[in-house]
Amino acid sequence: MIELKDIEKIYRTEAEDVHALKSVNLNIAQGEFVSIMGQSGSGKTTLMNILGCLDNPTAGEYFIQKTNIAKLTDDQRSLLRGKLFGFVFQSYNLLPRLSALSQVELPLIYQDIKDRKLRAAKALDIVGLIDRLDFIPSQLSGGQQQRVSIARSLVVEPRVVLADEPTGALDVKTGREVMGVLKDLVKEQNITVIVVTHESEVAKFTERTIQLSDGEIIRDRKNR
Amino acid sequence: MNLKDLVLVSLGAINANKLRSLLTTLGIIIGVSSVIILMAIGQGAVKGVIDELSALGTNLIFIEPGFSEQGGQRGGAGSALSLTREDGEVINDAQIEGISQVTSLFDFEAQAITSSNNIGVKMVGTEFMYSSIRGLIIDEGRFIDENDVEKKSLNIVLGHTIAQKLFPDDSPIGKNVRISIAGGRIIFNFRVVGVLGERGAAVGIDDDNAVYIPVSTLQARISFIRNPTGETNVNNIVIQTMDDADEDAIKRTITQILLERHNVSDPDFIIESQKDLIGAEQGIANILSLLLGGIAGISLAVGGIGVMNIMLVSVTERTREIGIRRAVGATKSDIVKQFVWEALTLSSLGGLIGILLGLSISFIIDGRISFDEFTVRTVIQPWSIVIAFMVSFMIGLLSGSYPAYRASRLDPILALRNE
Repeated sequence: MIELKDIEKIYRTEAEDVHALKSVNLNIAQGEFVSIMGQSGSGKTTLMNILGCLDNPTAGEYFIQKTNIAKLTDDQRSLLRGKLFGFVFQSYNLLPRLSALSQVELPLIYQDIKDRKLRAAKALDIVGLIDRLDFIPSQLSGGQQQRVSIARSLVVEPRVVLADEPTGALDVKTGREVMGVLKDLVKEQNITVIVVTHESEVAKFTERTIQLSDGEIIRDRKNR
Repeated sequence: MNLKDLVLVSLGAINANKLRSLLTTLGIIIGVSSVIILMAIGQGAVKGVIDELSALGTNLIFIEPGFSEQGGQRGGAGSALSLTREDGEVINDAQIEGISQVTSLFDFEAQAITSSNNIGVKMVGTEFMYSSIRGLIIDEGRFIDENDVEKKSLNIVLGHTIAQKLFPDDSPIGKNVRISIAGGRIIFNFRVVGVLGERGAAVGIDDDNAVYIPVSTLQARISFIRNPTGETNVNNIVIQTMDDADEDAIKRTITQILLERHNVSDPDFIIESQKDLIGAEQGIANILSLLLGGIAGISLAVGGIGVMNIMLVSVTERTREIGIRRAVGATKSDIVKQFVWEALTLSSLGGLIGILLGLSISFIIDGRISFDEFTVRTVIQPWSIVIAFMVSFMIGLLSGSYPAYRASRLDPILALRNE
């Protein structure tokens, strides 16, 4: 499903070159529940951005379903990103003015998909918010907002959900609930879920943990 | 992204910032409405000029004396009036194709006196066809007729204002009016036979403030209007042409006749058709109209800069929104479309409101504002509405393009990290 070969990422600044990723090799199969752990500055967010086609590697090859991402144009990458990936962010990244239903519809707008309202409502049902369709973000709790953003990531029926510190802004109990929602996605929808976190508590929910340090994978093992 | 979603997204953004959107469009509203109003005033002035000249009558050619600069048969010092009643008669007798009537007139300042009033008038010596050539309206009685001219009668026709001033209470018909000229050295008693209807100010002779007597009476009674050859000087020869006449050809023929008659090689007279006068005045009024439109166009451009400014601010403010949209699958061109559409919506809305406002104000001020004798009239030209809307649309496109381009260039990762 996902295949990284000798991926490097160098941020060039005037003062110095920052080697964010050094020769990363990684394979992730369909339906895996993976966590990427590391200290801040270890390169985990960079890795996630590259995985989600938001950023390009400086060197190396990245294949999704045998497609070489480096060879796509910006528009093709945007399209691929919209179709294959769902994103969940630490700070939810919801648009302040839109209702929960409209938030979830948003990715469908860019793919000209019909029956948007129905599909969005179904996605909100999966995360347990079918009774909050008309609420705007400021009327929802943190956990509910994160569920809306999970529903938004689900609505395009993605193969992969990328979650960047999804529990970072939540209390422990709500965080567990959100991880539970993600775990169900893997089980029930056969979606690959990749969670980036610095908390081992969170990583424990996943089946496989990849440890990053200083831009390199230092450990890659199954949990339990 | 389809059109319906584009419209909804841009309306949503405008709705979320109502006050700001209103202030932004205000620049366009003021610009567009002032373009429409000022163009309407300019076109109103053009129409006013045409109306005024048309009020002189239709299909007219005017001949006025010029000053001969070469010593001809009658040239003398080269400053004598060079147009005579006999010139008019010769033109009439020439039977030039396309000419329907020829008349001459002589006018000078005089005093009109009754037992209770004494006012300054313009006294015009003329013939019976003058009335039909200028399209004069008779309120009471009749105009000078053939009989008057033949008999050199002492009958007089009063302009509307003169009649009201001299005889405020009763009909002037049959009453006597004394006309004093040359500072009272010559005084005649005239009998009023007609009163003209109100005309309003017009180019050339102010008919309301004129009195008309037979030109033959002037010739017979006032010696100083005759020049040394015994012909009668006139101020104007007025020629009415037929509707389909070739005025240029007529002007050439008349010029030829008069040059021969006056025995000069360069014209010692000025010959102009009404169309020449209208054309010249219309040219001036059109330039005025363009100038006004240009000034208003500047305010429209300023409005456009306002839209661009707000769109740039909006892009900066909504960096995060752009990042989110990119993350969920928006392409660069989706982002460009969104912001261009937003700018287009703002400026077109402004344009529409501006057009409505401009039209309303143009209708309201039409004929209601006056400076001295000049009354502001407005004439709406359909093309000025089309141009105003197209310009505001173009402004939206131009002022939206750069901010939209900036928005699309944002790095989605950085945009998402933006707090």
